[in-house]
Amino acid sequence: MSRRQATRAVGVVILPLLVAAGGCRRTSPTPPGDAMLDAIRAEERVGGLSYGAGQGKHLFAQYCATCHGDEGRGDGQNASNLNPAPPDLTTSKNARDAAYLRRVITQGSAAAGRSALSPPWGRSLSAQQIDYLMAYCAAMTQSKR
Amino acid sequence: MKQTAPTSLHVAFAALGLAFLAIFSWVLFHEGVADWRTTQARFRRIEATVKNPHQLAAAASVGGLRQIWLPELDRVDRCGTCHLGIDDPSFAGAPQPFSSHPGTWLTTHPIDRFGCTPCHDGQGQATDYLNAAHQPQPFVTRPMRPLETIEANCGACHRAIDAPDAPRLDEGRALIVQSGCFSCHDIPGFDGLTFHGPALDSLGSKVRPEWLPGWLKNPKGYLERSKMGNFRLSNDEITVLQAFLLSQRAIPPLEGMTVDWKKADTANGRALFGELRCVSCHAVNGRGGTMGPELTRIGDKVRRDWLFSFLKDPHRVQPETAMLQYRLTDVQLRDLTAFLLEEYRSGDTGPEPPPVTYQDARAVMAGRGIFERRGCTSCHRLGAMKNTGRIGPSLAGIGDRNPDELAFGRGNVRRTADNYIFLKVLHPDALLQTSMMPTFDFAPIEAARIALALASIRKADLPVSYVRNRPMPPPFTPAGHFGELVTRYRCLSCHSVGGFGGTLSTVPLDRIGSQLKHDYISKYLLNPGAVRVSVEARMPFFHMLPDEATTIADYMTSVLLDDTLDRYDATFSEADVQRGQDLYTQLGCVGCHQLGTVGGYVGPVLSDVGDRLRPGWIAAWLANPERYKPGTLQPDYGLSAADARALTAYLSSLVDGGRPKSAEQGGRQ
Amino acid sequence: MKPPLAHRAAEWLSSAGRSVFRIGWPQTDKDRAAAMISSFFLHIHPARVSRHVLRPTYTFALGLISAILFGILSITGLALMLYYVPYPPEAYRSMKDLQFVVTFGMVLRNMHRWSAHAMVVIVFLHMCRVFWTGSYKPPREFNWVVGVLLFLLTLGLSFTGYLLPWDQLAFWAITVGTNIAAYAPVVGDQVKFLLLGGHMIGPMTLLRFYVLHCVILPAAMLMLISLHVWRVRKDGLSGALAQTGAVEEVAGVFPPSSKTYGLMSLSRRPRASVESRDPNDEVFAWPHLLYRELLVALAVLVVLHALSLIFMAPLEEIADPTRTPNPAKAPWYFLGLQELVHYSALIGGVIVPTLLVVALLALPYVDRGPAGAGRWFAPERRMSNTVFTLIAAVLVVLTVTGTLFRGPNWAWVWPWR
Repeated sequence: MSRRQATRAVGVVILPLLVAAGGCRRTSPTPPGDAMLDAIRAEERVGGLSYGAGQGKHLFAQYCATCHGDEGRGDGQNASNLNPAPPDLTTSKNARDAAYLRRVITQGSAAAGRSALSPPWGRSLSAQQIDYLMAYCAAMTQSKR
Repeated sequence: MKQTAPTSLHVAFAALGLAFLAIFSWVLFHEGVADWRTTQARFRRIEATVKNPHQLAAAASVGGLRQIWLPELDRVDRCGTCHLGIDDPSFAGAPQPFSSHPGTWLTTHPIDRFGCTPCHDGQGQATDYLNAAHQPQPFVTRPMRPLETIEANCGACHRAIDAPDAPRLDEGRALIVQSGCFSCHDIPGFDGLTFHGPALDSLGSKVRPEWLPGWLKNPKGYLERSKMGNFRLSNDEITVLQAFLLSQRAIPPLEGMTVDWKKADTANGRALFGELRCVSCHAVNGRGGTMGPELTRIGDKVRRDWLFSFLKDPHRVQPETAMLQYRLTDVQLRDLTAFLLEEYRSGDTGPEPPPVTYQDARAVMAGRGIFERRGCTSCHRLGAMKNTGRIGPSLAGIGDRNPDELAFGRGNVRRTADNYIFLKVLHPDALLQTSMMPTFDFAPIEAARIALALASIRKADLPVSYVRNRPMPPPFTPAGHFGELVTRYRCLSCHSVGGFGGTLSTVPLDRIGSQLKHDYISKYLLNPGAVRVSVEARMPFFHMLPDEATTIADYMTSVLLDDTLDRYDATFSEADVQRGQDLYTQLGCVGCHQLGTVGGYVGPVLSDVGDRLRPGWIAAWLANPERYKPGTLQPDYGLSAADARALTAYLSSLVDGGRPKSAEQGGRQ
Repeated sequence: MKPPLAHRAAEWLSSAGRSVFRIGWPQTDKDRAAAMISSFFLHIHPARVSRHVLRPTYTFALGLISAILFGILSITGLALMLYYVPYPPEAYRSMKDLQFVVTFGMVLRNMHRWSAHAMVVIVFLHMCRVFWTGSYKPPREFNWVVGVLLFLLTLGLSFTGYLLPWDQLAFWAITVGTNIAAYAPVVGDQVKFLLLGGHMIGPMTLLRFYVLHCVILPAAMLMLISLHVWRVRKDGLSGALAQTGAVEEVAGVFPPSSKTYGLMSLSRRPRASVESRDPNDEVFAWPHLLYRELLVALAVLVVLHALSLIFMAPLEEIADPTRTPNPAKAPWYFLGLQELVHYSALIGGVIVPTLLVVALLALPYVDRGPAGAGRWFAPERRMSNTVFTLIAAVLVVLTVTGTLFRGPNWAWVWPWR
């Protein structure tokens, strides 16, 4: 086999490969957007909360905010009726202790040796919901640190 | 001629042979370093740091491809091949893909029964990251859903209107119910629900003619929270539709009405407006309920005579309205009407123009044509016109619609059923110029919630064992005098019985006769006060007649009962009361409840709770509040039977402003 | 003294080997010739071949490559059969399993796919080569007919295999393909019904195509290939300088092999044998021809492995009869037809393909003159070469158009846009 023939043979093999490879490459335009997802994110990512913390925020508003305040600062509508007054969760050292926090949420503040004014939610809320609440509390203390 | 092969052939052989060896070892290598093999090797290293040797020895046999076969769902999920720590809590903090599943989802949805893809979507058969479709992939119809939209898959099984652990889905479904999407569309899961706009039989005598064109052009311009969509009508269409609508005067204003409008006392009207608790259902200036239309600009819209006759008997004109019929005198009605029209308007609206009489029968007929064609009868009743049924397409299986068949318009949007539904709900005409669907001006997040709820309506039928359904509650239609009263005062607009009725009130009437005492019911109906101070929506002041209140109380205490509550032994000892009082302090009840002048106002005032509640109910409520009112703020303290009894004894003794009465008197009535 | 153990073992092995291979590794020309003749597999070649046969530019080894591809397809196909369930939707699922779970499954499937496509191309090129060198001239008329049948079988095999993955691509390609068949007058609908086992593609169709693809067509293919090669062996290879009249047998440096030539002498001599009988121009098939064939086989294997590693065989969503893709395209080798059907169903779907096949089959019996046989683009055959090339070019252009330049609703698109 002469060199010329060999070159030609190699060309016969390579050329279709190149053509095929070229045919498969596509210039990618800007990827299409996910309109629905963007709308949800625009709403839910406010404050940079994770999904769990976001759920916790709803629960906090429903169950806790009347006394603890929407932002957890202890300035809820009902706070003035309480003695002792609810603590500012964003600065409370205890609120950063996950085990302590979980105990107070599930068994009430009395279980932590405090006043009985913060009731136990362990039987009313599902374990899932308490996880969400914990996540929101953690986000609250972190953002104010 | 040489009879041995030339050297060039040997060279070619060597080259090709080497190439073959190289490429074949590449094939071998490729198989050996498959995604999942390297991932599992990585997992072993992490496992060694997480577990003790004993556990490691037990886990050593687990390896190779792992799959979950779900014959009923017709799926094979191999996600566990890489997500090796998914059901092992000791990997809670491990890096992906080894981290254990967050939350308690795997407890409620055991992985060997539910697998992964029924909730997450994606390609469960794949064993590498890309093909599992963690991100959208070509030719994978349902790539993994991001957490933001994953609740659309909850809805595939959880068909009941409320799905507690899926708040987004819940919200979307609530919006569908509120917006009445099922008036025009057949939506599986929402069958049996009805949605009514006002009947239009007497529109000609109801509204001021100058108000109507603006409303038809853009309902949100008049009423920001209007449930009616914008039909994008042309001015010509509005003209003829107006002619048709204003010629509707089937029900004339009340006859023999002699009202001296000059004597109208708007101050009295204002007082009545507050006393009747109109704002429980109607918003004014942005505050108030949403069940009825906002009244902020009612003076621009309705005619005086019509409003008077409507307030006198709403059900004559609007048989389907949620509005109750107050028992007011003509003078009170006059003052209230005058107050509403004068107080709530955008400016001096001038004298009422006389009703228009349309002579142009062609315009009226053309208007009627538009009325029918745009499906107005789906929501509005109009005399003899038949409800043309659901004018919109059925939404059965919409979550599985083939995106290729959907018109997406020109936007650069990923072609998915989700995005299509979302864009369609948001701007129906942006996708299809000729769309008949009105624009409802939903906020993007509302549209996304609705789209999510709709995307959960799938084509494939799931096996019955996976579906969580809730049948529609049977209607509650009592007969007799009580039935008439329920209709007149529209109790079921706010309260429910057996799940049928409204949700504005948090007090269902199913067992109300076992909860409340007879005297308290009749007293409360005659003059409803606030039980919980912090709640804004309150029971209206009906101006009910005393014997009507007695009838209702009689019916409730003899029919709407729960025997298990009534069987409670309510003879308490003095010691019980004392112990209950101690518990009241210990548990911190004072944080939320007011007693005398002390305490919070999250829960109801307890000063005269002994007059109000029956002991059997108090005990049952304290023992398990979630059972009777899911989502209540009353915590479940997990009281022992003795403690619950003691607290009940104490609470039952609280009568007449918080002074405990003696135990002997606290017995059963 | 006993011979050493190793020696005895070698002796034993060698005798065992000789029971299989009568002649050991040939060391002499005599042995080489004998090896070729005595081996079942090698005796499809003559012991000595003309030197021009070794020129790659004469045949481009296209027939050989086709045979190698058929071999690869048989082997990979058998392996794939172990995992394949010819019933929807399990069929699709077994594709996914091959892709994700079966060891080497993906490579096997890719190789099967690309070999099948390559075979269609190579067989077509082989046919072109035979035409352009005038190699269908007597005495090879019938072998040309067999070749045409083999080409049709290749298309049939590829087409029946196309449905088996049971994805959207397969489903709709076969729908379009069988619809073209239905355009045939009178029998069209019956043919379609027979093919599909019903009026629509369904489980029966899949089973039918599976049996056709794995049993009936390969068996027919094997028989025709044997016939094809046997004829080549008997008629000799075309392509030496044309010599007038039969060439005398010449005793060369090796004893004339009795058997082959004996048979040849029984048969009618080729009227215009173009195989050189000049012993000085001949070389031994072993090793010259076999070596080159080995190289070609290696090259084919390397290329196919590379293709299979780089390009994945397509697998779309599971077949869904309610979701018609736009455009729905037949397998690419029928897209020329589909393009014609787009212009006229009857002409494109029936008349043209029928005429083409009939013309191909009748060709060697019409064009009988011996002129120009055995040479590329012989000037004597300028007319027929031009006509053939034009038709082939039109077919290729139509196919490329249908494949690359047709978008939704069969409208013209630029593939690079």
